[in-house]
Amino acid sequence: MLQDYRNPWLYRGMWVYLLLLVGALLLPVFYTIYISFNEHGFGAQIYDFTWDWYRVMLGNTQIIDSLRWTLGLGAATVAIAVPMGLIAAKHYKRTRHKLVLVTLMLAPLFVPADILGSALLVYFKNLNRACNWLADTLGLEWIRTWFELGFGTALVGQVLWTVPYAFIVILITMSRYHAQQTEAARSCGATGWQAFWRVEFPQIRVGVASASAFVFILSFNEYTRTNLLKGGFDTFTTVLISHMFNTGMSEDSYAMAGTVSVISMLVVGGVLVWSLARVERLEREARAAATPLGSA
Amino acid sequence: MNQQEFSRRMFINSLGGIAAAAALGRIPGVSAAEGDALRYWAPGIAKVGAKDFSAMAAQAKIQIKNTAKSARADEAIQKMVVGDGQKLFDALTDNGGGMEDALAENKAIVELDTSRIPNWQNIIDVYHEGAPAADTLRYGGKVYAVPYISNADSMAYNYEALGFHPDSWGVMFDAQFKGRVALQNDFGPTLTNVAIYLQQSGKVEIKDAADMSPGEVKAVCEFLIGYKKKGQFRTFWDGFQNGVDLLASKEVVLSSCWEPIQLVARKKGVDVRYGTMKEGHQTWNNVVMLTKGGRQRGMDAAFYSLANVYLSPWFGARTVSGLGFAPQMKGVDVYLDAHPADFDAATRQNVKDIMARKAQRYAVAGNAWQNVFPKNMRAYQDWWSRLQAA
Amino acid sequence: MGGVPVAAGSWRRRVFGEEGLVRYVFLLPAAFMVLCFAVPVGLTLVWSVFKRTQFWMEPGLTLFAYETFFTSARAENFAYAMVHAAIAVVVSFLLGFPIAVFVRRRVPVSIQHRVILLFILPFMISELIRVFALRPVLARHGLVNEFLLQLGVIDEPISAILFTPLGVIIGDVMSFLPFMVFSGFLAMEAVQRYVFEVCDDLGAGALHTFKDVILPLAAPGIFAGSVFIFVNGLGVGLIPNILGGPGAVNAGSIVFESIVALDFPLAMAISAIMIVTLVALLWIGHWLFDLTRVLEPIS
Repeated sequence: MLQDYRNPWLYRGMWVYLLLLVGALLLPVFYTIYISFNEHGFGAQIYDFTWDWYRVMLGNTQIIDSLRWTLGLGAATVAIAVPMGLIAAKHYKRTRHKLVLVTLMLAPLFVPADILGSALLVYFKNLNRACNWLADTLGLEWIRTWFELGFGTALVGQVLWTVPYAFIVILITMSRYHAQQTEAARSCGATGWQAFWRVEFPQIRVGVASASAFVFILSFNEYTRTNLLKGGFDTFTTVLISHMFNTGMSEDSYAMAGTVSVISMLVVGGVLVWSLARVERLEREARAAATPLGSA
Repeated sequence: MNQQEFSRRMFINSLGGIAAAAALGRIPGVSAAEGDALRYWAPGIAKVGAKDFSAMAAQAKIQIKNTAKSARADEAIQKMVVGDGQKLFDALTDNGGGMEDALAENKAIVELDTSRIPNWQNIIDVYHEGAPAADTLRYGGKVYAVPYISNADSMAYNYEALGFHPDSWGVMFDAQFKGRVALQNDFGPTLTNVAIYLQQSGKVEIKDAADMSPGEVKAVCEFLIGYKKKGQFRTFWDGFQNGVDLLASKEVVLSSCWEPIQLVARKKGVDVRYGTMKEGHQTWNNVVMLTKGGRQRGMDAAFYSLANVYLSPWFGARTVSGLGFAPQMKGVDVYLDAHPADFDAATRQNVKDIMARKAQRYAVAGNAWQNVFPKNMRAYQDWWSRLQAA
Repeated sequence: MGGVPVAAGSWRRRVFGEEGLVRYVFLLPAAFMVLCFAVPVGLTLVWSVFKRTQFWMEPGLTLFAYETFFTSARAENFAYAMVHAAIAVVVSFLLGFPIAVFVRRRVPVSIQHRVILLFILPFMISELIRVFALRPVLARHGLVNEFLLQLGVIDEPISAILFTPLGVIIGDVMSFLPFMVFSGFLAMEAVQRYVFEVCDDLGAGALHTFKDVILPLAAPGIFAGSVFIFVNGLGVGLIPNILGGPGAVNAGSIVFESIVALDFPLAMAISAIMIVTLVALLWIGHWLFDLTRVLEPIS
């Protein structure tokens, strides 16, 4: 579908501008990666290439331990936020109260991390006191530890942060799906589940997969809420921020910052490439079947 | 539209997901080796010898499970007094003076039996009963804390740019360095150091620079606001890395900062030095404490072993040579000379220079001990916000 | 039509049937958001009138925290931060929205989404890293200054781009601009491509097309993106902390400072003010533009 560009130079100029802007936004990230290989670290006047910071990082048990917590928290966040986003997106299609649902699902995007983190911290502390009181006065020992700061509370913070993205990504993919297909499947005798799993899900699978990748990366990069709500463990980014802001700055933070950047770029870049390849494959198949391509 | 089967599967799937996630998330916590480890809440500066706490643990012959602690003064109080810190940690460090009082008052930490710390004999004189820093370890006359590092904070300067060795805080307010000066973004140390300057140079009458009245806080802040409006300060630094960056990148030539910042900035190839200010400095120490929960769980033996390491020259020699903090025990010089394999001649000389400069700074009459909970905290906070807005 | 015979398992029907318990699964996300988001956020209003105790707070009814906020310079700091955030919104719009229009209008449909997704890359990496790394880029001897000095464009390093309000605005734009591209693009999906063709056919000028066609149609999306950038510029304390001048703060860092000083009612009061500001903005936006239209193309 080619346009008759009235001004091809403007068209090319816009492409250059677009790529320059992406490049500018990524500049600090690339700079961080570059610095993570400098023997003298951040802000130094000299540059000598070294792998040392990465070696130091991998030899630090605290960082490796925090990496395991990060992965655990990331996996749990994906396992909750993505199904939640999917259920909410399905619900959105059927409900009459669309505005209420959308407001609820997207609102956490608009509350800055420091503010939401502080509110949740005070909330959980109050709940914890209430549970302790109930445990003491009514002997309900089993509820005493429900709201103690820890994995669970950090998970709530992370799910709140990521679920809007999961919801919106899945919703966007679902909008490309035509409900008539489900009805057709049902008319042919499929159960509701079969219609979803065999017909709809394959078509929104890209959305679910990208949502999972994005949720994981968002969780991996999150620190403000996690730091306020985590209790007695550390994640990769909370160790990083404590290194950056404390008296105990150690050089492996360069490697840590580099690692976060590289992993994030690999995952997100991977999703981009994968979905691009998928579209090309579908287009090839479509061309082979000689079906004219409609506009999405 | 019949959703029943779909809903059931979806429901079961999400339950499975949650259960799997919960199981996965628990993995790091349950590794068996951590069963008897001392759960220790401390920042990176509380360790020497390795990038993690392994060398400390080996030296104390215990296991340590460290959680990174930030330099925020409130965190310890919050977590130990109103939070669940008692359950999470057996031992913790503070972030400057006065915290052990608040924690002891709220029964978050327990009294220590110094006879269980052999190296206590070796502690530097300032901590003896009746000496200037005695109260920084005690509450109600009883010992609640063991110090591991201390210092007298001063000013770092770029000698190449200045061409002379400043000996007064006044240079930070000299018009020729306009826009090339940084202060710490924390009202405690910054207001205390400026108060010491104004007090000792006779510009403002201040009774106790570490615990000012609202009127005195106002005078100090108005002084700073005047200079801020003239553009004297480039920025207020926050965190170690920022402090280093500002000096190493020559963004500023004068900065009131921690000594390790100067040491690291210097290593990056800029001639940054640490001065002695004739008016005085804010002096401070960091301490380790045993939590009530830690003692209940029987972790006191492990704690005392760790405390003993903190008071050993093994730790003192490494913290002063690596980070430039003052050792808290006697005999570091002897230890250094006895271990030439671990400390080469240049390092030994460097440590001697650092110690000599420290002795100079500690000897200044105007010094004031850090107090993170001044009586008029509210005045400090409110006036600090006015300085921020100026 | 259900697959489960009534006689065989009426309990199953009650659980899994059309009107069975399982339909409540669909309410789980909303329930979670109410319990873990709406309730704590709403409660900040309640906690803000509690009495401050030495280390915590106790139930009470006092406006002391609000008085502290308005009589100290914190209100002033809050207002400055709002101005900086508003400028960041305008700059992000000017830089980012043309991209949304360009991609929707000129880029082949099949790759539109992927072009937009390019902006996901920087957006997904923690602003902690991106903001921190901006300092060596903007510093006196940083990348930008060295580059300009080499080119001979300037003789002296520019010091106005770091540790100034301008530095904070640059940080906001670098951190949140992708969101303007996303929401702008989503909004442009509401504008069918033939609209542009019609405009072109009628010979409407670019400015005219933009003002009378694109802007009204895309307004809800632009507004959503603007609110996101505005509240984050106001609330992400890290940015003024790292890139601002001496003692630069915003709402997020004032809240954080109050928590550090163990002044929970004050922290909650500032959070409450922030949240009321946000709700008011969204309400005005909805009233003006009907924000549900943002999601129309995907409904």
